[in-house]
Parts: sequence; structure tokens; C-alpha cells
Amino acid sequence: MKTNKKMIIAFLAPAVIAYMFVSIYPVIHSTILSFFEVSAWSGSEMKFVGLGNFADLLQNSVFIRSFGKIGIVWLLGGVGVFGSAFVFSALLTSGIKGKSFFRAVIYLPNLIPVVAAAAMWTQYIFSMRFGLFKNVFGALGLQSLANIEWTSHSVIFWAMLIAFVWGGIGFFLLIILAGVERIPVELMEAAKLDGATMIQVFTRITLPLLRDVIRVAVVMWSITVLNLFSFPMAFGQTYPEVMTPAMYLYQLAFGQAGGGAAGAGANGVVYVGRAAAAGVILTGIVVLIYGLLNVVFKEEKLEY
Amino acid sequence: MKNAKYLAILLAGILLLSACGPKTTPVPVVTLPPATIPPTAEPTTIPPTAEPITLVYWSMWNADEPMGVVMQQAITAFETANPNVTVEVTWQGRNVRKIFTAAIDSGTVIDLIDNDTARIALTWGDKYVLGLDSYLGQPAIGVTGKTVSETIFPALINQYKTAGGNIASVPYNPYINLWFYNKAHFEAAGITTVPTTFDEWMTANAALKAAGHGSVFTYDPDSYTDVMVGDSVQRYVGCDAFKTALADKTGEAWNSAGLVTWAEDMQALSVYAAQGTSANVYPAGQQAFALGDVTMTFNGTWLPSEVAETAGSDFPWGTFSWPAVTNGVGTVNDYDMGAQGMAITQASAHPDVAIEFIKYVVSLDIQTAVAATGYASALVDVPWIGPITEAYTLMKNATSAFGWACEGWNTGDFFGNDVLPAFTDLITGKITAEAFTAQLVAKAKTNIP
Amino acid sequence: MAQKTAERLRKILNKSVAYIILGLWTLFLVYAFGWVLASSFSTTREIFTGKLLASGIHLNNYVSVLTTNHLALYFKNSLIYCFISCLGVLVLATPASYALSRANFRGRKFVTGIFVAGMGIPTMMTFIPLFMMFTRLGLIKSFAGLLIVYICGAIPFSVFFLSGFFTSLPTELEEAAIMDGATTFQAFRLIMLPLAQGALVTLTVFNFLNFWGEYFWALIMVNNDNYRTLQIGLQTVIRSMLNQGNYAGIFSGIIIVFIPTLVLYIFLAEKIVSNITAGAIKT
Repeated sequence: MKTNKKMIIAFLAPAVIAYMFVSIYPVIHSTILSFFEVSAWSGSEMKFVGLGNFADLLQNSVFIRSFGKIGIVWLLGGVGVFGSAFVFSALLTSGIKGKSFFRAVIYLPNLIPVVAAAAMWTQYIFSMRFGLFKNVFGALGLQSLANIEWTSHSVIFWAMLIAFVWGGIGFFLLIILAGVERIPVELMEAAKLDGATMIQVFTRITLPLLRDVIRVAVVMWSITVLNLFSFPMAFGQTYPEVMTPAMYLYQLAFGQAGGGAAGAGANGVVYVGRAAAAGVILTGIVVLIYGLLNVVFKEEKLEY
Repeated sequence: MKNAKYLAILLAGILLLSACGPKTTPVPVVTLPPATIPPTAEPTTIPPTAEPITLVYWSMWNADEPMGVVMQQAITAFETANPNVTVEVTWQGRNVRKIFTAAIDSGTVIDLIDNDTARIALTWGDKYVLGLDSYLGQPAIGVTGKTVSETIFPALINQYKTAGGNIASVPYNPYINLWFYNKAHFEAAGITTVPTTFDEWMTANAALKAAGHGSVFTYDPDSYTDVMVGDSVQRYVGCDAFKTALADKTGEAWNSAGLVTWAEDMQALSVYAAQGTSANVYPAGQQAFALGDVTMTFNGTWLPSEVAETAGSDFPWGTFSWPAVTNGVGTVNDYDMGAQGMAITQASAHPDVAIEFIKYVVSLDIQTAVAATGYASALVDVPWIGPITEAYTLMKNATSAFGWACEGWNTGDFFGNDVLPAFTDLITGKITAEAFTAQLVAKAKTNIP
Repeated sequence: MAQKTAERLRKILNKSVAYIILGLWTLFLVYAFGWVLASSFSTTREIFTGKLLASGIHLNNYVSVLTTNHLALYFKNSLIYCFISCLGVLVLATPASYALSRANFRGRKFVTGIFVAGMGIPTMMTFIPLFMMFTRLGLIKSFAGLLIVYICGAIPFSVFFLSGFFTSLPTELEEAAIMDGATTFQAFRLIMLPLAQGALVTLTVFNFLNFWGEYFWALIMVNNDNYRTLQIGLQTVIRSMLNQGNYAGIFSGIIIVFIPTLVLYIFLAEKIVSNITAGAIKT
């Protein structure tokens, strides 16, 4: 409609410039930095090391272990989040009353600030003294469950995972629910009349029709998981068991790497270049996942 | 309409909960004494300069905690005595150690910084802070006839030097790490003297258990595992051997006699760990001690101040040093001590003014205010009050000191990532001494620094 | 007949199960939240011994947290950041999304594409150069640094969302206006913007909530305590409380931080939820 170039530029330019400033420029600069050893934020000490940073990272057991953690979060956490989202979708669409109320209640945990949520979970819910889990499990007679030391170093990863999944379900429920509600009811009814069981309806009708939605959701989940930083930080930053790649990256960048998860005794040396390299690796994985998902879930125009 | 529904349900839930819980008489709330002392000596007056001077001070304290209040007092008095000087303080909290070097590298203007003297000297060092040796010979404020360094505990002044051999900070708030115990529990169990050897300690523990105090000790693993490791291992093999073992890539050092005995003794001790110790999230462990549920906890002399509200004013405080072992390297008189110190940054434009502020912080008045809050003062002549009075005598007589966790924290990933979690399991009875040693040997081989 | 009853029974069973599960979730939330609320009015000793509110309601926790712990200051800062950022986003993103949806120029798909791609760039990749530059420019000592990051960072999603909205509006309205002699800008300002109010409000609510709860950038981009956001400030407050063993204070801090979000949510839940849902459908 409009062909007035000046207008177009005037309308678009500010946003494009602003966006370039915080997205494109940093990506380029970061990539360049990743090939240097940068031991001061002022940029005054830069030494070209080629792929040295990448080699160091890929041989560092802390970094590698952190990916293992993230993998578990992605897989098991993903199952928890998506599984719950599907279950809740089914429950919400089964014709109960108060659907929007329950939908709002399920989403609510997503809005609780990370710091507040972490404090609530670690200082109250998981407490071995007066915690909710201990009291409830104890009241139900499930003593072995009541005795789980959630915040000990060996279990705290799972404790964090539970809290993280709890907070994340709401968002993905909304996405899945939106997709499910677009499926015409007649399709489901027709299938049930033909004698299909709930599981068959789910696997043969619901899932395929939700392909696009699931694809987008999985990409979003992957990005969230790969960037996982604030939750582990708030939960137990002194425990190496919750170290994620993003946390390690942060430690590298701010001179706290090499002294356990708390970085308590880190030699204070800043590894900006290596941190940038870690960022490149993380972004690369995001791109990889996106590409893989595009292949696995080929985009199709769905007609109802 | 819907909104009213949500509100109604929330309110109902809240009312329901408030209705629970028996009503009892209110517990009196304990407050700390205010830290205002009439000054006996003013801070140095700096000759007025053409332009007003601003000293930027990044504090490790929070404004509302007792030490923060004292520092604010010092700032106010200093500014009053020197109208052309402003001390611009940012209460960074303990987080300051994480952001300091990055801030300096990016050109942030900071003049004064405080933190653990070990960290200032060893981690930050000459690159970030000035050597203060020359200033320490200046006269002290409030104590006539002595230089600054003469008024401070000798064990502290010279404890840490930078790589270039400089004293990097002035200690102003020392600590010793000790076993804190509940005297009432000891009396009830018939224990009359504090244990000085491991065997005496185990006897006392058994007596405590027999008297019904089964949860003998606890601690907060997320904060103090490292000192538990360092202080215990120092008694068995000494800090140097420990650091050598940490650096041993074959892991065989962990199989040496001293370290194996250490592991076995810790396993014996684990019987007395309170249930749920490994799940303690700071400060749950020390709170349990303050509530009288547990008899002992290992902590620093700041502990009474940190748990003052829960412990109450009549808590039966007692302290003893980590017991020694036969054929061990360390003795009961070796203390794990250190201090928070204040330093001047390398890039500071006003070091001569900054040092005056530091001198005022270690002056008699401010240090008396520090002691009044229940924290430890850095001056030999200012006694520590209340629960840490005994520790004051120890500090005065201390000849040999070693650093926090034998400075294990300064040795790389292996300490924090592998030794500490394994030790937590050992001391809370989750693994045996053999498993502990085997784990460390294996991890030492695979660990890449 | 029997089949119908069986079917009805099955439906009732399904619904009961649904109610039970959803009810449990709700109960957990209410109970946890209620406990935190009750503790915030108690004393630390009561919390540890499990006798909440045994000595009545103590409001001093809130008072001290708001005043001595500067939580009120952090609250104000967060409000400033959120309002200004939301405004900035609207100013930048609205014209851009309008242009993207209406104008037919070469490279339109490319520009749209890079905005979409921008939504997927991890923070970990971008913070290093930005932190470097901002500290050298002195932007982390004031509101400026974080504001810039927030505004610019929210542009990709906002443009994406709004351009989708604009595309769904019929073009006849502007065309009529232009035939009557209005300039493109006037058509945009006088016709499109009023029509877009609903979408702008929804987007702003979404952005507001995101900025309010944001953690990482707020952590690194603000060096000065006077400009700290509520999230980071809460972290400091909690740490300070832990150092003094003041558990009741921690829980009051949590409540204070969460209350505005909760209130906003109670009144705008539908809008918030529908916004995310709409976003999901568009992708």
C-alpha cells in the first residue's frame, strides 16, 4: 500500500536500529571475542588464541558436567512440563466448570519472581524442620518421603528441577491449550463414536494436529533451559550440583571460575573471551535444536 | 465478578491458616544494644582542599546489619570532622566480592573496599589494591603512644601479604572459627571440662547422647563445609600437606596414613551429626543451635550476633577449639583466624585521605562500637563482650594462625567440586571413610583444573 | 440405555478426577502462599517451632523491610524501569510493526525474519559486549543502562506481536483516509492507533510483567544500590535477613515483592492469559 520510502524508513528505522544494537552487534562482537583471551573488561589485554577458548572449554570437566545437568533438565524437566501441560489441557477441556479460574491458577506460579520462589521453596517447602513436604508426607504416613533431604547437595538438583517445572508448567499449558482448543470438537466426537480410546484420540488426532504448536513450544523450552541461570543461582549457588552452563559462563566472565560452584576462591581472573566462547557454543546448540525440529516437525499448513 | 472469586478463595485460605496454631503468651523479642558511644577522639582533620573530595566506598555490609550501622557512624563522624570530604558508600552486601574486580576493570571509580583480608591479599592483590605498609606506622587514633599496627592484634596484621610482599588491607573486624557449644547441655550431661583431644571429644559426645541430646552437632553445609574440612585436617596433617594433597593428580596422597586417619575419625564423629544436617540451608543449622536443639556447631565469632534474636540474651554460650589428635601435626592452640579488612584501591585518586578514614575505622571509638554490637574488635585493648569473651583471650594469646579452610578455596576446582560434597557425606554419615578416600582418589585423577 | 448411563458415569468420573487434580494444585498454591503470608506476620522463633501467629500479628516486619532494607526504594525503581521501558517499547515498536504489516517493500520478509530471529538469541551471547560498552560509557551507574537493554530487548517480540495484529486489520480504513487527503502518518495516528488500543494494552501488560520479574540484566547492568530493581534488591534483602536470622523478614519481603504482580494478575488474568494464548496461535 505505502510506497513512500521516507515514511517507511522513519517508521522502521528506530526499532531496527535499537534491535541491531542489542542483538546483532553483540552477537558479532561476542563471536569475535571468543577467539581472543581477554583478561580485563576494559579490553586492554587481548590476545588472539584462535580456537583455544573452545578447546579449553570442551576439556573442562565443570563445563561438560554442566551440560549433563542441562540435558537432564531439558529431558526430564521437559517431560514433566509438557506432560503436565497435556494432562491439564485434557482436564480443562473435559467440560468442567471454572475453567478460566483453574487456567489462571495454573499459570500463576510462572509470575512469582525467581528469587521469591526460590526462597519459598528452599526456606519453607523443602525445610527439614517445618517444611510443607515434611509435614504433608508425615501426615500421610509416607515417612521415607518425608525424610528426603531435599536441600542437601545430592538432592538439591532434583529439588530445583521440581520447583523449576512447577513454575514453568503454566506457560506451556497456555500454549498447548491454545492449540488443543483449535481442534474442532467434531473431530474428537467422531473419533470417539468410531470407538477410539482416549489414548488413541491423543496419539492419532491431538498430537499430529498440534505439531506446529509443539515445535514452537519445544524451541521455547530449549532456549529457556539453555539459558537457565537465575533459578540455580537463587537455589544453591554454593553447590556444584546445580551448576549450569549459563552459571559457569557468568563465573568465567566475572572472575569467579575455578573454586567450586561458589567461586569462593576463584583467582579473580576474568575470562571474558572464554565466556564469549561459551556463549557461542550455547547459541550454536539453540540453532541446532531449531534446525533439527524443523526437520522432524516439517511445517505443514493444517486444514480443518 | 471473577476477581472477587479469586480474592475470596485466597482470603479464605489465609483465614483458615491463621486460625491454626495454639495461642500462647508472646515471646519477648531481644534487641541488640545501640552502638552509640560518645567519642573520645576525633578523626584526623584533613587540611581543606580547593575542591571537595569524594571517597567512594563499596561496603561488604548491608546498611541495616549491626556492622553496617557502625560503619555509617564512622562515616558520619568522619564527614562531620572533614566537611570537604564526602564518603559515598554503596552497601553492596556480601556480593561485593563477586563484582569488585569486574567493576574496577571497567573503570568504575572506587577508593575504599572491604572484605576478607585473605581475599584482598591473595585473590585481588597488588593489581587492585595499594600496599599499606607505609601507612601502618602512623599514630593510631584514640590510643596514645602507639602506631596503627601496634594497636591491632599482631597475628592479624602480618597474616597475609600480596605476591609482592605488601600488606594489602587493615584488619578491622577479626574472627576465629571455633566450636560453639551449649553449656547447659554439657552440665546436664555431666561434662565439666571442654575436650582438647579427639578421644575426650568422643567421650563427651557419648555422654551427651546418653543424656538425651542425641543431636550433638550440626552445621550449614552450604556455607561452612570448607572450614570444617580445613580446621579438621589441619589437626591431622597440617595445612601444607593438605594443599599438597589437593594438587596431587594421582590422588594417592589421600591414601597416606594421616589423611586416612582423618577420614576414619570423621566417620566416627558422624554418628553424632543431627538428622537432616546435610539438608540445612543457611542459616537453618546455626538457628537450630541457637534454639537449643543441638549442642554444638562450628562457626565464626560472628555467630552470637547473627543468631542473637533467636538465642536470646541468656543463652549459655561456650566455645572450644577443634580438638587435637595424637600424632597429629596441629595443636589445640592453632587457630583458624582471619579478619575483614579495609583496603585502598590501586586507582584511587586520594589514598592519603582514604587512609585517614581507615585509621578512623580502627580507632578506639569505632572499635569499641564494633565490640558493643557483639562482633569482635581488631584492637588488642578492646575486649570482646558476651559469648565471645573467651575467644578474645585466645586471640590475644594466639601465636600461630592458619587461614580459612587452609586456603583450600584458593586451590582450584577440585576442592569445591569434589572434596566438599564428599566430606559433607562423610561427616553426616552417608558414606564410609573408605568410600570417601576412594572417591577422592578417583576424582583427583579425572579432574581437570 | 445402559450404554448411556455408562457414558454418563464415565463423564462424571472424568470430571471428578479433573476437579481433584486441579483442586490439589490450587490447594498447594493457597496453602504455600498462605503459610508465607502468615509467617510474614510472625516472629522467627514461631516459624521455627511451627506455631505461626502464636503471638498475634506483627506488622513490624513489613515496616522494617520497607524502610531499613530499602525495599520501598527498590520498588520505586522497578516501577520506573517498567513504566519507562513499556513506554519506550510502544514508541519504537508500534510504527515499525505498522510499517512491516502495511508497506510492500523489497526486503520486507528479510526484516521480519530478523526480528523473529531476535527472539531466539540467548542472553548469554549478548551480555558480554553490552556490559563492556555500557560500563565504559558509565551507563551502569544510573537508570540508563538497564532501560536501554529492556526497551531494545523487548522490540523483537513486540514488533512480531503488533505486526500480526495490524495485518489482521482491514486496509480500507486508511485507504479511505488517504483518499481524503490525509498523510500516511496522520492515517496511522488518527485511525490505526485508536483501533490498536486493545493490542497495545495487552502487549504492555505482558512487557510490564516481564520487566518486573527480570533477573539477569538487572543483576549486571546496575552497579549502584540506588538504582537497583526489586528482584535484585530482594536478593540483597534476603541475604541480609539470613545473616541476622530474621526469617519473618524474608517472608515479608517475598510478599511485598509478589503482591503487585498478584493484584495485577487477579484483575487482568484474562488479558494476560489471552495475550500469551494469542501469541501461541500466531506462531
